[in-house]
Amino acid sequence: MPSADRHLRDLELLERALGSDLPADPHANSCPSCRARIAGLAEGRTHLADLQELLHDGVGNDAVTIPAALSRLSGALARAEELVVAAETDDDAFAAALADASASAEFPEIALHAVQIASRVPLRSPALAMRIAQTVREILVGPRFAGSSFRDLAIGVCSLLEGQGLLYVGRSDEAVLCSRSALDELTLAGAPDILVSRARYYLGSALWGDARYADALILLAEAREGFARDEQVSWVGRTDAAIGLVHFSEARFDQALRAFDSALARLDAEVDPGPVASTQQNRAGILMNLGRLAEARAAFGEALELALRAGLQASAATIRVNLLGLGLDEGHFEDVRTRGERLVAQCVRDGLDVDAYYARLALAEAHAALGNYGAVRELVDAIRENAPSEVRDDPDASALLSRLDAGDHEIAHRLRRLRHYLSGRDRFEAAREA
Amino acid sequence: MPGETASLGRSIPEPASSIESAGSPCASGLEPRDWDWEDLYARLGPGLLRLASHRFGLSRDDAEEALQMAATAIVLAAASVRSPEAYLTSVFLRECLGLLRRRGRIERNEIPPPASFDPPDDSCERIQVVCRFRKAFALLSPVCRSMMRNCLLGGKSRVDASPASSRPERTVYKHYRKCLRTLANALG
Repeated sequence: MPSADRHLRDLELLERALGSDLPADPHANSCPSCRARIAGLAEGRTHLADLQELLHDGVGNDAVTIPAALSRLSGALARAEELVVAAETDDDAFAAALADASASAEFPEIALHAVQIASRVPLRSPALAMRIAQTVREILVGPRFAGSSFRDLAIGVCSLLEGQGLLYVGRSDEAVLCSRSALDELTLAGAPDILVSRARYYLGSALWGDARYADALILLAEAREGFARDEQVSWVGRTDAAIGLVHFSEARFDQALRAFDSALARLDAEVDPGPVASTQQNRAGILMNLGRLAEARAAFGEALELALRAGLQASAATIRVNLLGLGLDEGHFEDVRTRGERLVAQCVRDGLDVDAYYARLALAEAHAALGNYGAVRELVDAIRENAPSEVRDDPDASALLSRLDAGDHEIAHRLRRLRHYLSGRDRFEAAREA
Repeated sequence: MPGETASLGRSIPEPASSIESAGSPCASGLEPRDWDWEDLYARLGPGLLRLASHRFGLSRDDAEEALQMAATAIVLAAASVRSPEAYLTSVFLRECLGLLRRRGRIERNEIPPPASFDPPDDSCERIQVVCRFRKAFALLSPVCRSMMRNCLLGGKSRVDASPASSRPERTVYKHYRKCLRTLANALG
């Protein structure tokens, strides 16, 4: 047992670094040297450094026998990717690829990889993600694959994918149930920790979508711990970004900023441009609402540059909309008008309806500030007619929308009031006053 | 996001789940399907086996078992892994630790008692037996007690054990049987 008056042995350090449930050790808690070694082991630096050293020394270079399952892995992953690409192409291609894959005895293994790979699909098409999950599950639950060791895991990952899709289409209560079921199924099937951590991550996200913030934080913290144990820095960064959103939702803006900073420190823009651009954007949004306009502009600038470089057109449009709001706060109305008109046209052309809506809102406010009331009235009509569900379904937002009937001298104020409400500024003000 | 996007508006438009990037690449700039897992295993495997011996004192067989377990985790979760080398290493080390713990538990159960080990103390039980015998013998007359002691404990014949050696053998036998019944009843 570790004692208070001696350094911990290698194994004791490693046990603590690998997250074992050992009782707190007084020495480990108080000794900076042991704490540093545990942290090093936990972050994997020491293992990899040891490994490099051993490999460098040329010791232990006996060849290892490659397990047969590992030799098959590349082939199975390639077939899984083909299945997902077919699903992304069209229904016929998916049906043909699925019929082909499911004829093979290896289908449960291919399906397990395919539904993991398909976690990229909800971002583009949540409905397609749900269809993939449901179709693959229907085949797996049949008696043909009852004896496969991959089957139960694949079914669990199907639930995970379906939960992601449900969250995206706004059915967050169903997403919670589906993700919870995925977590149970994967745990029961003895899934590797990384899959269980992913299930916790998505369940945490679904709970956030369902406004159950305390539960969401618990799940996300557990997921983060799991990803850190597996030394998956990129996943830790994504989880930090999700934790930042939960803090934001509970008006803990400083903690949200810290979580976003932590996420950005772990995510690599070259590797994960989408998550980095989103996180930079979220961070910039908080800075803007805190009134730190110069920092917000710089952060939006970085996010825009990255989105354009990575070809994330939808993300770039959203960032430009945010920059219009920032321009209004800075009082650059003429500039907002010029850029706003271009952006509305571009969003309409690219089918980005929600971005077009928010761009019109900013443009109307700029026109109102410049006294162009004819243009304002046309834009207000469009704003009221084309309100997205997130505005229509929110009684407070609907009330603010209905107040846009005001006379010319009132309209600029009421448009600003609606924009501030929709951008979460009200909560910042409330939190500040509290 | 329902409820949330309304208040977040365009300022915080990205839900946690959308942080899943589309076709997100991995640390090496490749996607999981593009990694050469066999090469990774062959490249890191020997060093990991050595690490298991160096850090945990595991035998080659045990270390190979841990490596196989790590390979199984990869086979199941490859498409979710973002840092393959770190993943293989961390799962392998956890398996080593698990093996070591299981081994420790088995050894604790199988270890023979050390030389200085004291066997369980049964003196109380022995005292109880002696007390019961004493009580039973107390039921006999002094002559019978002497005869039964000589006969049962001293190993003498019934005739030699009898204090009144002039008695006929048949009488001694009847007497002996009577004493034996008394003792048997008393001892249950």
